[in-house]
Amino acid sequence: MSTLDEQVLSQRLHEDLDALAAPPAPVGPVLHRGRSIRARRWAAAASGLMAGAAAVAIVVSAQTGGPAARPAAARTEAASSSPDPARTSSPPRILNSASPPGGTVFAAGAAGGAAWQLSVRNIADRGSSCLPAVMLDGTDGDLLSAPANVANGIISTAFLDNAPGHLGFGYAALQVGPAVTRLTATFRDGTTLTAHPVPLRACGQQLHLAGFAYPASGVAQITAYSGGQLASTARETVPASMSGPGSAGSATGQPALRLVPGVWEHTGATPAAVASGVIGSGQVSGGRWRVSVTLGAAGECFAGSSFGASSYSSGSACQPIGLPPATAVLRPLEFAAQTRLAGYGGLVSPRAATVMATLSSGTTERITPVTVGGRHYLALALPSGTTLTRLTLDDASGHAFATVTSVPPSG
Amino acid sequence: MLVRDVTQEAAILDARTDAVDTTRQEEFGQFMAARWPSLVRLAYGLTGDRWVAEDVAQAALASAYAAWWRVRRAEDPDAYVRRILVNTSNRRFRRRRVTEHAREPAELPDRAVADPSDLIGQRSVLLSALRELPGRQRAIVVLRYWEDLSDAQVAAALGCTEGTVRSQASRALAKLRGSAALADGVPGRGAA
Repeated sequence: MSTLDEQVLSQRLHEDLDALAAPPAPVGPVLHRGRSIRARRWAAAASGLMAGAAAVAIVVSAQTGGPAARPAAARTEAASSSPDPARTSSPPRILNSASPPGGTVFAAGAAGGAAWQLSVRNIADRGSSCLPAVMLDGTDGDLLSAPANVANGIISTAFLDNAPGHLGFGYAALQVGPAVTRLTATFRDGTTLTAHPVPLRACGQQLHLAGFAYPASGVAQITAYSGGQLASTARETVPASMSGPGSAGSATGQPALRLVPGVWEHTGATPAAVASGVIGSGQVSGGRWRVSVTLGAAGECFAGSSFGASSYSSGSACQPIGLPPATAVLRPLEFAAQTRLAGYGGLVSPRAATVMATLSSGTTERITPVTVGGRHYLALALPSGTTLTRLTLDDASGHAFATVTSVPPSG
Repeated sequence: MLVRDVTQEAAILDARTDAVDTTRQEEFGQFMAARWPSLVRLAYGLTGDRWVAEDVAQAALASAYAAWWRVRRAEDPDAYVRRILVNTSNRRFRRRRVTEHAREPAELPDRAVADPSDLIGQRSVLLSALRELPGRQRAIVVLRYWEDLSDAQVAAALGCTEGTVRSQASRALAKLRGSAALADGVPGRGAA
């Protein structure tokens, strides 16, 4: 080996590596990641101990010839990012992961044997606008409002229970101030859980979010801490339609009745509507009609109204907020007592510049989608007895890029 | 008092735990801030990619924080963290050969963006040549010729003998000599 080679190598390495300007040290994210690793190790060690204990129980049982003592369910639950999962506990069948995958996911786990995750997603059309929302597995969006000027308190609390596909469990999503370091949740069954807020950026906003799954009994209280101090309110919660008076949820094991399954329920200050606008209007069968949409705490709400010569009627319906579709997703609308009209409203792909609606009568109608809150909507009303059979979506150049035929019947 | 108020005790315990956490975080934060630039550069030498380097450095420091009570008591905490970083980088290279990461369409950027590597210019010939070396040889080269560590320190960082360090360094240098990485800086030697 030549010394000259070594000198050149050293010199070149210094030229290349010393020239690299490192960004500021990301202490916060590293601390969070480190806590997750530690919690995961604790959880692994705890489950190993449980497995060992179960094995010992089986061996002892075999030696004595008696029935095996039923080992306690091996709980691997750990609080989201908790440094000390040993302090947490929750009923079986619910797992709050100690290490959310990162990225836009701030809480994850499993409930009833199925994986779940809470993430922040932009529910507006890409390239159009940005509306951040908490989503459970990419569905059931709950709009996030701009962070309030609260340093160490709970900014908003939202609960989602008995969502379609998640019967018997609930999910909580909390937005907190940046100084909040820890949250403790006490469930109505007496168990507790510790969670740590995850800092992340969405739509240009710095957010601090935490989330967890909770048992059917519901959440009794959530407390925020900043350092060693009580940061804010121990907030009494009344979530859970599962646990409310008269609820059939926890008592009978049946899901409680909710007006809109899949829409989050807020406690404390209810977030204001984020966006609202008229997405369609016209005249059918001698009467005028109009449909508007509102995005807010109640989900995505469509309101239809019709005006006849001597009558006025209206109706509205809300649904969980979803991501913009690749084609179109319409739902039937009701104009209350107005029976001469059938209507549709919904989301279409942002690529659709115009939409051709084909009716069962054979007529066609060209509709231009309307943008509300960065999402593209359309609405149409039909004479009673007529149905929508096909939608053809054209892009800006007039090229038909999608056809939708599976339109649900109206009325 | 015959009946202990366990709810108050729990609150005190929580407060103590948080106080310890705060102290530990401050201590680690100072440690990290001081070492961050050099760890990113070391990871850059090991990976040849500045963005991956930042991620490797973060992962290594997160592991260090997870075992901070052990790291801070180590005889040489810097060597401890350096070893974690080298292992993290090696694991990443092993994983990369068998793993492909799928991305959801929703996470794709709204419009085309420039290749991030354009921002830092073309990757150097030397770093490209380093990437062709086996992981251990690459680590030995960077630790020996950039960190200027002794053979004993490099051996400690990699968990091998000094003899291995010397032999692997010799092989690495021979391979680099055959590439263009060292050619145009050595008088009398062309790129051929």
